[in-house]
Amino acid sequence: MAILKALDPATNAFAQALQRNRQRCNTLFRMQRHQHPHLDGKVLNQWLLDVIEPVVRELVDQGVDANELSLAFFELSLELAVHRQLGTQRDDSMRRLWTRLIPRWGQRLKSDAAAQVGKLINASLFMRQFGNSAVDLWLDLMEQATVLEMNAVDLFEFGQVNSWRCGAAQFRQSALDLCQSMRADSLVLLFGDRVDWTVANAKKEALTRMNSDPWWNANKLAEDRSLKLVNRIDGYRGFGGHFQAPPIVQLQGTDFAISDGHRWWRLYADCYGHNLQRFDYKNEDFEPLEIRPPWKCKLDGSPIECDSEELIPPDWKSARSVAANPTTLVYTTPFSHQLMLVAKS
Amino acid sequence: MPDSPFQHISDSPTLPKSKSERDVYDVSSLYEGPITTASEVSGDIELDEKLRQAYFWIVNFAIISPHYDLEYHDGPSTQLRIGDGKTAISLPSGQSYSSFVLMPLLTFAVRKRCLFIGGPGRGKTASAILMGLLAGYSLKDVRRSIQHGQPQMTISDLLGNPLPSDLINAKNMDDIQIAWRKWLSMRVKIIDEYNRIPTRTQSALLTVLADNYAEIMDQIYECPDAAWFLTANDDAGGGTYPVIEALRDRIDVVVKALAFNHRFLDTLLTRIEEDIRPEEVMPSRIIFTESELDQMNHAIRGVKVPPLLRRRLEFFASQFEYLDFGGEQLEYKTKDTARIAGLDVSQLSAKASGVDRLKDLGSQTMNGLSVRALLTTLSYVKALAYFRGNNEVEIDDLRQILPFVLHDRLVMNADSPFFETAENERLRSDRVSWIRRLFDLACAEYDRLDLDQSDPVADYSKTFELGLEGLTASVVETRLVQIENTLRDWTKGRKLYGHLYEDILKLKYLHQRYTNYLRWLKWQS
Repeated sequence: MAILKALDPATNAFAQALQRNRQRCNTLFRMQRHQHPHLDGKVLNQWLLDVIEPVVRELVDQGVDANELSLAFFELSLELAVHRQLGTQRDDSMRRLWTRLIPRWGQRLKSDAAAQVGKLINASLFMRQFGNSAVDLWLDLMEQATVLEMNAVDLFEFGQVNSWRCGAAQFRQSALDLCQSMRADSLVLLFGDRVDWTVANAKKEALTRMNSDPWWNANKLAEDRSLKLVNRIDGYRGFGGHFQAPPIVQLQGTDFAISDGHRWWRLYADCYGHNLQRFDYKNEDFEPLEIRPPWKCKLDGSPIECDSEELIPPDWKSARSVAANPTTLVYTTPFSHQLMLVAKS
Repeated sequence: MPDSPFQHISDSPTLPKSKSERDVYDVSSLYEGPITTASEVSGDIELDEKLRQAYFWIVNFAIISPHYDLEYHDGPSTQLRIGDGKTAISLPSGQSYSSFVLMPLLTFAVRKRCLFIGGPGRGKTASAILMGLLAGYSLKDVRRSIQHGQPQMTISDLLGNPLPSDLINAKNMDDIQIAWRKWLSMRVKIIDEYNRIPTRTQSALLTVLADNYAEIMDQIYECPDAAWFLTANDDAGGGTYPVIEALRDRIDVVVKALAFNHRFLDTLLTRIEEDIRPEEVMPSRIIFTESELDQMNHAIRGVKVPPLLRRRLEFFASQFEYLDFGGEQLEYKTKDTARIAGLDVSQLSAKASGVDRLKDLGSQTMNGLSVRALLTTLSYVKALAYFRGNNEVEIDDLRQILPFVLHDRLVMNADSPFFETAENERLRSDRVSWIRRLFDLACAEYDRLDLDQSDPVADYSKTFELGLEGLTASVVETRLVQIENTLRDWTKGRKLYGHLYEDILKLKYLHQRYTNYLRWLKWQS
């Protein structure tokens, strides 16, 4: 094991642990490499030296058992290498997760280190689908949360709500359910301090509003809200979007079902982010205009009305499908692969 | 870890069911992903899923067993024939399994007793060791706990020794302490080459295996519930010592180590070149804790056996015990009566009794099924259904389990005319296929008789189970007449096969219960 030459097993806890589990680690690596010829021992060693060893040292200083931790981190690193997550540009956010968030997790790693770090890795990989900025924001908030006096279970719950806060709009409902039992300081970190989260009634009222209106931002003044085009979503498949052809939108209950003529997606969108999730759907009766109160509009280019406010958003005159639930209006045109979202925000 | 071997565990679900639309997204899925988290061990995944993951880890990385002989079909499957003998090649459309891995795993789950048979070097002991590792023991402990059968093995070697100082100082037997062997306390017990153990030591082993305790000098050691794995190079009693019948009868399933497929030589080569020993790196995520084993056992017992399937098993099992020339009185017309009397069942079976001996399934066996065999069948069939993620046993589960449970219990009558046809003569040496064929033939007969729809004995039983309390004499008399009429109908030219024999005994039983009740009613009035 080349890494043992670079570190001194006499003084280094990580090296000592690897030395103790040398046979197991070597067997695991050999087997992985047999199945995955791309596995590069040098890249893995460099990762272990540059990233893992300092993290282990820092955690051992905090009282975490070096042997268990080192073995867990070795196996996790090996998995990451197998999944080509090391030695490429991709490892930036992974490096940040290891070097900044995991040391701050601290004594919480005294038990079940492999499971906990595995979960954090999975979460950061999941957040990548919303872009690098979403991963960075998620990691930022997680780092800040580690300072709060929370146990690992609460921190993982925080991470779940945080993922919604950072763009995973499909988690909105279940994240809001978790918010009910979250501490005030966690909620301040997530949603700002405009709401006094320490007061039970204020918390309840804020969560109720968030529940009923996806565009209500707890950290924004009510008087700033007006009817506007809140987002233009997605695009042509060839440019990184989902759609092969300009899409249409339909209402399915209070959800938005989107089709490009080949596939169907469900739209999840709110003030924190948006995404499309594929689903199987068949609808024989396409209604170009499906709107629920308080929305009023026609497909003739006349203004969209909502609670006595009016708006003519861009390309509205050429809209070919419009759907609105009580909080959001979505329209599409035959000339664009984007979805236009109108709401009070 | 979807791609990494060795530590790789198959992704869930290992047995995908029909996909339902996922309407509601749950934020808890945030932590699911390519990196398997150990929390999946601690109850986040279902135990049946964990059992399947253990199975797939073993077949994919530990034991080279490319024999998918437990076939399941999910829709039409491709069937081909090859060679002059028209050997069937079946390409199952459903998830199928290797009995050499699955049967020991089910044994582990239900804590029963499994015998591996097959030539040396086929992975029998290696499989048993993996079961020990699955129970959470270290490789060192499992290896040290293996009892290697050898001609000089004494009871002390097997169970333990009295402490020498106690032997000298003890005033009575209670003062003698025994240093019990460590393997007795383990939840997985492995006996290698059990047919090399001397007869007397086999008897001591029988006590541990059957009654779960060990005894030396009046001192008793109570063993925990355990899964047993025994190996033998030859199942036909070719070991150094013949296996005592009681011990042989306690074996719940027999699994054959099939021949190595030489197309997999490269895997062996890799193991040598890379110094790979899978048993040294079993993933912790597939190791079962004691409480998980208890939970799993409880869940397996909760798997349901549908009444119609149970009826099919009854019909199958009822084929074998009846022997027309076994006795004079109806109740004694059994193979057991003849066997106890020292008569040759095969010869008696060959005597003309009016039945079609090709069609009579009972003519193919030298014995009937014991209660123990049926109990074992039900346990394993539930375990297999559980393993497949079902709450109810299916007919295919029964079809797959029976050959392994009955392998050593249903003794073949190789002189039966059934085996003389060209189509069936190969079944003489292939007991697994033979028992499966027996079950298929029984099911075909069951369907021909349309017993799912029309089964008078079942109807009478159901009526009887409603209870006798409150029945008037006239109702009882009517039922008695009905039973007699049914029996009378059967006597009109119907040939007596095993299943009919048991039906007659059941009707006689019901008749007797009604008669006794009628007598009581008359006495009361």
